[in-house]
Amino acid sequence: MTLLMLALACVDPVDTGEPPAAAKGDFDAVAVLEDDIPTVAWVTWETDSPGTSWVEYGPTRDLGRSTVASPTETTEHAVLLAGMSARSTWYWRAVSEVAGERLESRLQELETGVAPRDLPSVTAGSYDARLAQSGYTLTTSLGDPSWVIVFDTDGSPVWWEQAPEESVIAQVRLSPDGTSVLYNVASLNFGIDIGVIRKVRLDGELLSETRTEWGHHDFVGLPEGGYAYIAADIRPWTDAEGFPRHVVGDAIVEVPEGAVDSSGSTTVWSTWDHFAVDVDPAVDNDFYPQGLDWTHSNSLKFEDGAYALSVRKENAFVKIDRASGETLWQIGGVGADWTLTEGRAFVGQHSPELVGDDKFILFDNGDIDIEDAYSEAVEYTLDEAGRTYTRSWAYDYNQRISSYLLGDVERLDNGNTLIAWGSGGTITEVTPSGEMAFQVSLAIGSAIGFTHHIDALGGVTP
Amino acid sequence: MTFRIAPLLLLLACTGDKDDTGTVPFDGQFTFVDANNYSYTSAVEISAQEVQLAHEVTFDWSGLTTDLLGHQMDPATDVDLVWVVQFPLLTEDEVKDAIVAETLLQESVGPYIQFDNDPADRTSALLSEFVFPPDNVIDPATDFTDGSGTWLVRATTGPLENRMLGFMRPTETSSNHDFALGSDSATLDFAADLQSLTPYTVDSALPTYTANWAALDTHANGADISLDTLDQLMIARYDGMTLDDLEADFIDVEIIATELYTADVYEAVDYTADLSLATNAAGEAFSGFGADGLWLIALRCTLCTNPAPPFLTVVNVSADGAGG
Repeated sequence: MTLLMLALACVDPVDTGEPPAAAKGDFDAVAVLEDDIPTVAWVTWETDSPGTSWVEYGPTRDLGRSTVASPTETTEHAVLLAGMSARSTWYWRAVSEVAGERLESRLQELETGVAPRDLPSVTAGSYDARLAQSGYTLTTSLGDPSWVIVFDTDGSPVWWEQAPEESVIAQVRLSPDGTSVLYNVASLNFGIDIGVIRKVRLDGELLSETRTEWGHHDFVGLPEGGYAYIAADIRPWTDAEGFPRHVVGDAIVEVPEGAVDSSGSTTVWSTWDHFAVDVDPAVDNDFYPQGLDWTHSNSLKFEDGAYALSVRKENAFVKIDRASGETLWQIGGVGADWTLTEGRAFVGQHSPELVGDDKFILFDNGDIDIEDAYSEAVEYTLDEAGRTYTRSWAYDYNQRISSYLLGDVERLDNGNTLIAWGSGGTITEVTPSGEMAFQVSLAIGSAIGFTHHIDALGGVTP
Repeated sequence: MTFRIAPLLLLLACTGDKDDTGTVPFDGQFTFVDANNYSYTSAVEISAQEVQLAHEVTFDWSGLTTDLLGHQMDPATDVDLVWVVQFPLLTEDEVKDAIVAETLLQESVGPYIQFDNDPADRTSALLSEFVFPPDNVIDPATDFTDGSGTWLVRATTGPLENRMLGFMRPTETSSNHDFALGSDSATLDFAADLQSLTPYTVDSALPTYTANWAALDTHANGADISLDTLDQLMIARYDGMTLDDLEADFIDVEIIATELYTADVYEAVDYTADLSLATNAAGEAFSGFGADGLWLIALRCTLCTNPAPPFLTVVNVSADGAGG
């Protein structure tokens, strides 16, 4: 790039007098990079009359990308520009629609800064633009330290946030308006309760912090605001020999955004009310200092008034009615309401999610204790009438990864499946026929947490 | 800190006048290209020790007084972590090759556990004391089995700096329950070629020097170079030494320097830095190339596990201004 700039710099300038109108633009706009995240900029401008706001941008002068237009009109415009890769030149133009007329600033350049030195490197293995869903990947790395990372199809970081010391970030989600990132923080060794959900605007400003007592693994935003999260539910229990112990089950807890303690929280459901305690004191004693690790629930979804919970150590996927707290059904594990027709049953799974009316997908970690263990992403088709489910699709990455922690799977709009291979440190996007559309790997030392595809970042903050 | 001096360089690039011989005199700007770079090959030899399948193991590193690079160390205080890492699908040779090529990815790694020796300052530990926080994911009874892949034992200072490596082979026939990591468990050999590169010849009288490495494509090991990993600029002078001497003692190229200046260049957005930003141990800024000694400029990756610089070139100093 520098060589190109040298060449450009040596061309004799041509005196054209006044710049052409298109080069001047209809108004002046300014972009200011954030100090902490120098791939994010605020773009501001003013118009004489109220209008909408958006920014068109891209890595070339042809631009090609755009923030979402603001739903409201203003004369003082501010757009959060994100999604730019680090250490590179970007071109941008601010746009307003005023009284049906498109007004725009002149085309300008922006040189982004560098990513943190210790941000885990993402090695791009492949990207097939014909097959892959364009956009970004939002994920977490579970190393020391833990990070939230957004990277583009080249594996280049475009956004990041480091976890506090001695903590881990498992789940991260983009706010519906695309301008904030929400993530949960738990203690690295689960020995102390530091659970919080943080909402951070893309410019790095902390918008809210919500205390989630004994929160771990996963959370979801609720339609009316606030969150539901998985909490360790620790209760006394007497083992078969009559020894008093403590056992760690899980609960789904709802909490208002910004809560500083549990006073406003509500427990919707607990594994203690659904499963019989099944722990081996000799085996299940090394995860929680507070007690025996019993259910180890690990992912939570919410849709149509119901929660979908993954209960790892029961090998169960449970659907729960939010309003009543009633268990609607259970797939997998002891006491299941549905029967697998044939093939491998899922074990130690993560991220089961209903897809459409009659399917669900999940990341099947598999039994890590058997020889030749491997993990896979699996789709099952449900037969409501017969209460059966049948494997209808799977991708096992040539059985090269046996993930002993985390894992995620997400069905994309284009029909592909995004798979995060947990401790395998790899993310793949595969087509329904199993073709590789996109693949990245993290350098040694970082496992991958929950992972989401996002189409766009940034825009006008509400 | 962000370096933003490209506009100055652009101006400089357009103002050079050719001298009588038709060559452009060196104007103080190093624009590094692959031809300026040295090359090296490296190989790691890692010894293997058998241990009994499905059994507790005692790890002992009390004999680790010289590290992988031949440097003296204290096994109690310099070993911060001892790791046991499984590579389920890689052979020992593939692990060795990937270590020297810096191509190990997380997807190759199975479960791993570590013993945290800081501040314990111990020199031995039982396998059962190793953990993967917060859960222990390696159980000898089920994981130390035939065909479970390659097991690498690492002793590190901090999480990154490999001080010693060893392969552990769980076998049915072994009755050994001890694994010793000593000074000769592994060796790392370099063969550096500093004499096939195109050196720079510079004028010692120039007031300022800058370096730009944006045009580099190739790592000294022959792979593609990742410019974003280059985070330290090193300028070194060697008195009374030849290139042959440096090649012979390349592992210690920093240690044996008569004078050494370094600068953090990670945030050099344009891959450009003013050499005067480099300072020596006393905090004195680099002020120019003296006529004496042999000079090298290197770009290092301080977070890489292989200590060899990805880029290094030779600078010859001319007192008559006939640089180039």
